[in-house]
Amino acid sequence: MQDFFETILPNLFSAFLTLPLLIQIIWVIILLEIIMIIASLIYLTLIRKRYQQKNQEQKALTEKYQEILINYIYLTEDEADEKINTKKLLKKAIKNNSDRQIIKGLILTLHNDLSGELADFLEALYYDLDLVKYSLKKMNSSVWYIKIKGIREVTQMKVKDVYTETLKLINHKNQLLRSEAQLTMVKLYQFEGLKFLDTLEFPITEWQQIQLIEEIQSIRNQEVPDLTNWLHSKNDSVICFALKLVRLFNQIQLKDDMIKLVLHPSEKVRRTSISVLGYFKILEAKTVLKQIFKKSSPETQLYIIQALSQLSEKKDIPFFEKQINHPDFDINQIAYNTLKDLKPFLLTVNLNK
Amino acid sequence: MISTVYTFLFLYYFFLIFSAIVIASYIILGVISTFETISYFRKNSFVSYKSILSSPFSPSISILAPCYNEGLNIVENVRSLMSLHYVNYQVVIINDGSKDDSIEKLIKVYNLETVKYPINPRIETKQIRGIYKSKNPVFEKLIVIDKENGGKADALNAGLNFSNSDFVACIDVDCMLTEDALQKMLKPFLERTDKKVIATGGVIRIANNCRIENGKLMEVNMPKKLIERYQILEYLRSFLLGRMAWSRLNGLLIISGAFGMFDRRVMIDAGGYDTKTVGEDMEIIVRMRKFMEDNKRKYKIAYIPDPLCWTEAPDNFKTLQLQRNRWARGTIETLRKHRKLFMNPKYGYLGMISYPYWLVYERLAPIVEVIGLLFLGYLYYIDAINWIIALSFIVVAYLFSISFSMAAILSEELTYRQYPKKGDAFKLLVVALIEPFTFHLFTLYAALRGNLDYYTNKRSKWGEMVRKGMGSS
Repeated sequence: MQDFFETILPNLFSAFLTLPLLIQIIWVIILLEIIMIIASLIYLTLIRKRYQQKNQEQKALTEKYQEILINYIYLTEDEADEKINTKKLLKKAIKNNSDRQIIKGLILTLHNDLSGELADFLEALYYDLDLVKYSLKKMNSSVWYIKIKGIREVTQMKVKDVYTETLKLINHKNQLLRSEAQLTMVKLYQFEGLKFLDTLEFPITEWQQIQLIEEIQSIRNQEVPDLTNWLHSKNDSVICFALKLVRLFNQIQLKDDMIKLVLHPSEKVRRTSISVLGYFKILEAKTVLKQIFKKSSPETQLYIIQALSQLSEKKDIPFFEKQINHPDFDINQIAYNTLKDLKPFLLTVNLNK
Repeated sequence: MISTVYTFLFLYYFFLIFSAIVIASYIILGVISTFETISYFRKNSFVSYKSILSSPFSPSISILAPCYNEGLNIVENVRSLMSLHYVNYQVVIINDGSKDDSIEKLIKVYNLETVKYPINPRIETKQIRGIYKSKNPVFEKLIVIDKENGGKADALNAGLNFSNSDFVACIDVDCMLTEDALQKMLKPFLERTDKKVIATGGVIRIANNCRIENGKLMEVNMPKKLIERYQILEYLRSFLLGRMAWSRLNGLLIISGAFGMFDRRVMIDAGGYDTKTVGEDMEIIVRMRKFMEDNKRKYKIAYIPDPLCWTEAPDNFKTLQLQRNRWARGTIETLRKHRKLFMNPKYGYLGMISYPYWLVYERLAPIVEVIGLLFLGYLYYIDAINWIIALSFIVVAYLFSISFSMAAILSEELTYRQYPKKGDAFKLLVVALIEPFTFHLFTLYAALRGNLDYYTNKRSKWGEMVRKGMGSS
């Protein structure tokens, strides 16, 4: 070994220095590649081993605490001592980080799966064990994905005093973070939480709108807020979202605002309002829809003819007859089917001509 | 004599620079892909797909699945497609003039009857013999189009003409999709507000030796045959270290024909699939991109690294050679057809980066590699090889190949971990060690055969793959 460092290595290095520069570069690259491969192999072995170990440990701990928690929630009032002992045991356990993560995860999962009194028990336990402190700590983290985990935990456990912190995140530059904050506003504060729409600077994606609507649909026993202001928002996506809420809550009294939106500069707003007008069968919209039909793009024309088809009356037959030869197949098919419904006999005669 | 020396010098520096650029581009793409995959993985661990499953605002999707002589598994495959988790979708099976009993089986098992249905005649296809729907409301999602044989692209066009959904998912009927595949593929279309997403592609995983029951993937196993393992590693490299980077750079030129989702109207406006190429999956993407560029519309082609689509890979060299031959011909045909894009600043990134990269590193790379090997052989013949230089280069290339494969294995390990069983990683490592001298040479041969077949007009053959059926594994 001593020989290697004292004679062989220096000789090899001297020989290396005599090689042309290109070969020297290549052998440096080779050395780097070998180091990289060996490092990757070690890393791969370590992560596979660690994963296996972690999996086994977590499985054992999960089984242990799951049993304790399930026993706890089914304890009766006569078993108060056992309740106190279990709580003591859990309080001691949460001092350890990995145990705490598992206990918190289990409480959240069980809370999600259960309802009524049992879910309330778990919620109370979450507060008793002071787990809320850890969730809020996560929520204040500077790392976005830890922040989201914290937000989710406080939302699920209905920690209501996070309004100001959540509202601050509504216009965060990280899309996932602001989406999560928006969902939290609705989940915790219901229609009141929709106030974030007043100050929202970023567009709400279609995906996010579907998520929000899903949450909004679950709101019970509350008066639907006035949607007018959002129909006049400077943020186009807020208008589209408000239009969907109009449809969802049958706010047909807002028809005049909706008709005005048919002439909105944003094509997306125009299309959404057109489809909502069709959905509500608002006959007053027909004139303006027919007026803008010709000037609109083929895609918007499709929305218009779909809406007009929903609003169709016999006096509209000439309009649909004109569209039966429209170059867009989807449009001419809607025209054809509408005519078939309006006056099948007339259609046959015209087609035969 | 002087001109010979200059030619040698030219070739020497050409191969040197070419190899250096190839290695550099692989490193850059690999690094971008790894970050992108890990970032995607982290971001999507927070996504809830629950809402999209039942929302009245969920957009409609048509799954278009062409079928040709798939009688062995067609019933199970259709059942699997109908059990996906999504609220607003239909399954359109296009029987492309099968010579076996595919259509009879479908009619019998799914209780089908002919229906009259208007079909958009915008894209020309072979004649439609009939359209079928089930009398049983349980199968109301299912539509079967029976048509004259015209090839996969023609069958997809027939489906495209039929569909009136917002999006179409084009798949190979023998592929097995995970239950959440549609939700995940749809998401990119709905989450961009600055650009129109026109297509999304997904990772294709190899299902050989996996346990599949009732059209559902129950257990992922490492295949037994070496030829299948080669393909596992190859797919990992290609999907996790290549396409993710191109997606990040918005430069994707291909979405695998096995599974992709498209904006239906853009696809129709771009003209649908080209029936004259065997590389229709690449050609449609290039054409849709060109269409968007011509119309000056901002667009994106997204890519999903989740293991959503599982397929049976060739398990013998004859079938594999036919497949690779077809891929090579498809690339040549597409690049030739759209040669106007090459270094054309009008097409921005598409013309200046994506197309030239594809041309040089996908289309010409096998040819350059063979010329390099011939050059080396000639130098050996005239006894003009500097062995120190030659061996150094060979070692660099070999070690780089292993490093790149290692990066793919690590990327998989840090994200989806589809092969967690003891010994699986070791098996892939062995493959990484021997692949450069074995499988790589085979794929090189297949690509050259593809070139040869293209220029000798053997263009129209697709090459049939005999299916064993995934459920039988």
